[in-house]
Amino acid sequence: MLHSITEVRDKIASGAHLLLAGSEQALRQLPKGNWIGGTTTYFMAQRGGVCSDSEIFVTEVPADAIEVRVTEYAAQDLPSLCKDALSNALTFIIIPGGSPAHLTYAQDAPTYEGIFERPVVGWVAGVHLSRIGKEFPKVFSGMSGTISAERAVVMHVALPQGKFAELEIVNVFKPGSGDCFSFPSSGFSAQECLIKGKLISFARYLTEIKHDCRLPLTADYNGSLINVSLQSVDADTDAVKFYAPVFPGVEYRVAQPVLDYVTAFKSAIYRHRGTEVFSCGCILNYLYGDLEGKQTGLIGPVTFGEIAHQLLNQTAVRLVIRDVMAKRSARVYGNG
Amino acid sequence: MDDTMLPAITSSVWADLVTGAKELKSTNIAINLLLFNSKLRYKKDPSPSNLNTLILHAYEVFKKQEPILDEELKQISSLQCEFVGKRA
Repeated sequence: MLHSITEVRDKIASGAHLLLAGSEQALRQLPKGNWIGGTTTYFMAQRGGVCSDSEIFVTEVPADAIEVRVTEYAAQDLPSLCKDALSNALTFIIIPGGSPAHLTYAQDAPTYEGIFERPVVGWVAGVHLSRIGKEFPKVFSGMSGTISAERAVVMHVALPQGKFAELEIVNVFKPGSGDCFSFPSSGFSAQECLIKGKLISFARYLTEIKHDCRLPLTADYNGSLINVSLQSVDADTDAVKFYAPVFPGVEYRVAQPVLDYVTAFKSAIYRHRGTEVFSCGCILNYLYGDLEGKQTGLIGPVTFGEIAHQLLNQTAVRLVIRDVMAKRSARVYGNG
Repeated sequence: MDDTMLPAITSSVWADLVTGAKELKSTNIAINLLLFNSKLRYKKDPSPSNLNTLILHAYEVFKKQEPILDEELKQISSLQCEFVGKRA
């Protein structure tokens, strides 16, 4: 929920473990404590989309967590992220947008040992859109008092027996009916793509099909739809830039237009039952869907990238905690 | 007490899943990302040692996620039955 700085100070004083999202100016006013945070000035609140420099979005780590450990990771240390995870755990991660840690995580997270064994969830910190290039996204460790524009901050949380964390992706996009294409190499930019076995200029292709660049590329990952958002298309230099890397061997299609973001989000979120412990959304959906002041059913920070194991674009991510004790007992004793 | 419902790591079903020879439908994001990335990595390097690594990783993920994989375990069980049926 969104809170004033004073309210957040009280929560920190209570000793609760917190994930905080707010402007740099707001987060700098907080005392040390059991929290990690990342910069953003955009939020989806109960009252709708909000841009605020003075409010802070607070997510409380479940009070029954049995152990919490905060660590910071430089880009080169990120491959050991999951080796450090606790037993029956989940990992919250916040990475400064545009940092070496962001680029490394985006590119390599799917290859990290253990990355899919336990939920790894979080966001890429950002800044107000008018201050891109003037201010740098930052992450905060309330434990150590560190502020960084380079490193990722992580909170490993161990859950009690019988509780199980699960991630969900809320994606309002669907693949369009156009060409299927792939890329010869991975990266945050591409000059060429492969369509029907032919290597062609991707920028020219997008220009020719008059693609609306607000619509992401979509790829079907064994039934889960993963987006890659377009940052810019320059037909003169044949360069297309993305907000997340594309990977070779993956088949992409451009997404169908979304006519009404609010309705699409409400209906997508309705399909995801259960109360979330944490959720976050994407600044591009906030911007393209003109979500300021509008309620979508999504509550959480609006970020420069969502993380559900790997970096995502133009989705929302939800973390739910399930009670699995009853189910497991039923299975063991043959009652269900 | 080991109450796992997972097939043994030596079961051929794991190789089928990580290579994409058999499909598993899941709504679990971890499983979908795992299987998709495993197929990509197997295509890139189909050596037996890489296949073993992918199987080990997949088995560990299924073991950790098992409490919420009822539907997936049912499918895996029927994939195993298919295999046994074909052999018979």
